[in-house]
Amino acid sequence: MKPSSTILTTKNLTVGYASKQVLKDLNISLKSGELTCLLGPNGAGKSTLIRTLSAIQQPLQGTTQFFDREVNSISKKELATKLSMVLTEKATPGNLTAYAVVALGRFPYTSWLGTLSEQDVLKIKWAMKATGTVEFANTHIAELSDGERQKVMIARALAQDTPVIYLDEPTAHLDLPNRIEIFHLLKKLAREEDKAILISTHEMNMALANADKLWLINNNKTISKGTPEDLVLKGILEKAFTAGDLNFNYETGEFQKPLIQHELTVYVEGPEVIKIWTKRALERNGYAIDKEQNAEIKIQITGMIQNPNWIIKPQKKIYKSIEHLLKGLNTK
Amino acid sequence: MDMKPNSGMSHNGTGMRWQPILILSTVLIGLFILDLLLGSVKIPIAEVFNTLLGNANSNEAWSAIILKIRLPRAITAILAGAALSIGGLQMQTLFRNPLAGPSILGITAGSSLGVAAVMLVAGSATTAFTIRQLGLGGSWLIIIAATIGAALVLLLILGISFKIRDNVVMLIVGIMVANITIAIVSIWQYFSDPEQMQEYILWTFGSLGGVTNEQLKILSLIVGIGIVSTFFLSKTLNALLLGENYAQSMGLNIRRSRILIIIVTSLLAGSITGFCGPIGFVGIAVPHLTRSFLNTSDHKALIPNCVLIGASLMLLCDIISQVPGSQTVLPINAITAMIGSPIVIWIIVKRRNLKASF
Repeated sequence: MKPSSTILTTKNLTVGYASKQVLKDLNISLKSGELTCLLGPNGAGKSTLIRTLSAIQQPLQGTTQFFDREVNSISKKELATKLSMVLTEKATPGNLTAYAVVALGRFPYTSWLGTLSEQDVLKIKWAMKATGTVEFANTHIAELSDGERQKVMIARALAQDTPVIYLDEPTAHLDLPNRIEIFHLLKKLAREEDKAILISTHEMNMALANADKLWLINNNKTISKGTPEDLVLKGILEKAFTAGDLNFNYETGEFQKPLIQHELTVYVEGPEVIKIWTKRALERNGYAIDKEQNAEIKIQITGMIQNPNWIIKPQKKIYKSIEHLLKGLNTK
Repeated sequence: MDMKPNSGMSHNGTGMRWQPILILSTVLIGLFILDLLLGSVKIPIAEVFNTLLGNANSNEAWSAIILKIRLPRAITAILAGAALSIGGLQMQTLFRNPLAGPSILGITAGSSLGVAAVMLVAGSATTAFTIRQLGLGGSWLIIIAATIGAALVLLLILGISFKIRDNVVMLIVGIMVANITIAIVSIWQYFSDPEQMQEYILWTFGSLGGVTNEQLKILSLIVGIGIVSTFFLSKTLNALLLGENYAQSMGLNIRRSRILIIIVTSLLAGSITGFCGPIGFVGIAVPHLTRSFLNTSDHKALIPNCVLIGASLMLLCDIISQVPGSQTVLPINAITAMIGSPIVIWIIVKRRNLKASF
């Protein structure tokens, strides 16, 4: 692996609109070969920041050094050879094949007629191969699923052959398997092609699982940066999302908002996997889980994963499914 | 064009395909000949070809009809069909709106205003239009008035265009400018004599028959420049298919592209309106037909085919408007819609890809 180099650095950058600061005093940087996730809730200013970093929007204050130059001083044409983008908006290019859409990525390099050279064709084919979109090269874009279409848009960005790619909520319209696949693809591209990739997302678990670096938007319009795990352990992540009375589960890395309906606490013991899912069911049904043995209710799990038994102590009754177990608890 | 259909371009849905161009060219030539053959006066086929080949014709009236009336008229039809169609194509792509046409920004309305100004104010000048209708000589007055009207609206639109970032806003502003222009013409009409109004209304019916050979040279030149410029814009138009934001991220200068596209479209639509009056429908329908027929939105393929389909459709409309074998001539503006609409409906129902194609 090549040593990663810093591609973008901001100095006291403040972004927003004349009437309103959105994010302030940002000192953040992007490195090649790394996947950086800009994480924040909807409306926190992710798009505004990306628009500012890509010189579409002027900053209120501060500077953005992009390849050692102020990003706003780079011509749009030159910028297009260094930075490509994938946007949230669903592109509806009409009746174009996936290949033709990817070929549009060669826009900054082709002549005024847009004629593709041999090298252009090679780049397009490579981009489609890298994104796994070769199989629908000749399929019209309207016939593709949302996930396939987004991969084509990523292929288009790759064909643009830039060292940096920004993706603004690239998985917003996608289902879970597609989200995982897109993030996986982007991580692979960052590693194998040594690209600096910035993804804005509000999906915390995707960002935690995939980001090399996290730019976390805090409540006070600032950004905390670092390795995701460091931000979790320092409690910064939990703080960033404390808008409501959410509980951060440090074991699963997820936020929860439990609805406690029962006064009795429950302790569960047994094989790990079954225990986890039993706890989930209990929590969903309003039981507080106690980590200590002295809880009012104890549930003992015995048996194999395929065929577990639940026993509510001190009762001796055996339950064969979680559904029965919950019913048994309710009638207590 | 010095483009070779090399393998890198002709497959995967990019670039030009030659087969449709050949088919459409054949259709165009066929309709062109038919348009010359048919008319209110019956002329033997052999005589028509004789005249066209420059041989002396036994009947001087016949050769006059062919060379001075039918030929300019057919060429005008080709130019009008081609110009309006690719004008419409550009507007539809620029605004990503299927209902956009070459007249969407009020360029045609501007021409109407210019013509109305001449006809409704300078009452006596209206006779000039009557002369033109008879095909005895064109009225430069009307053409210049229409051109000035279109140019004024164009300047206004461009002025606004510099200040606007968003194409959707641009579209709405354009439609509003068109409405204001039409409103001014309406008020003008309201205070005019019925006779003057009749002249103006006659102009709004459109006519392919009023363009003289001299004028045709100028019209051909303008339309030719317009078509070639559009072809130069095909890369820009393709980038705009992904939406303004994507186009910009690939290094396209949105404002400059928009201004170029508006100028070229205005040149095409304005000149045709000036010489032929307002001709509707073709500019909206032909781009859709072409996309549906070719099953692509790639402008490098669309532009030449749009020219051919637009020209063919206009020739067909001209043939029908003559009502072959009769002395009647129907207004071309009515025919384009009457013939064009069923064709569009038929293709939508038959091919079912019209919507996906856009």
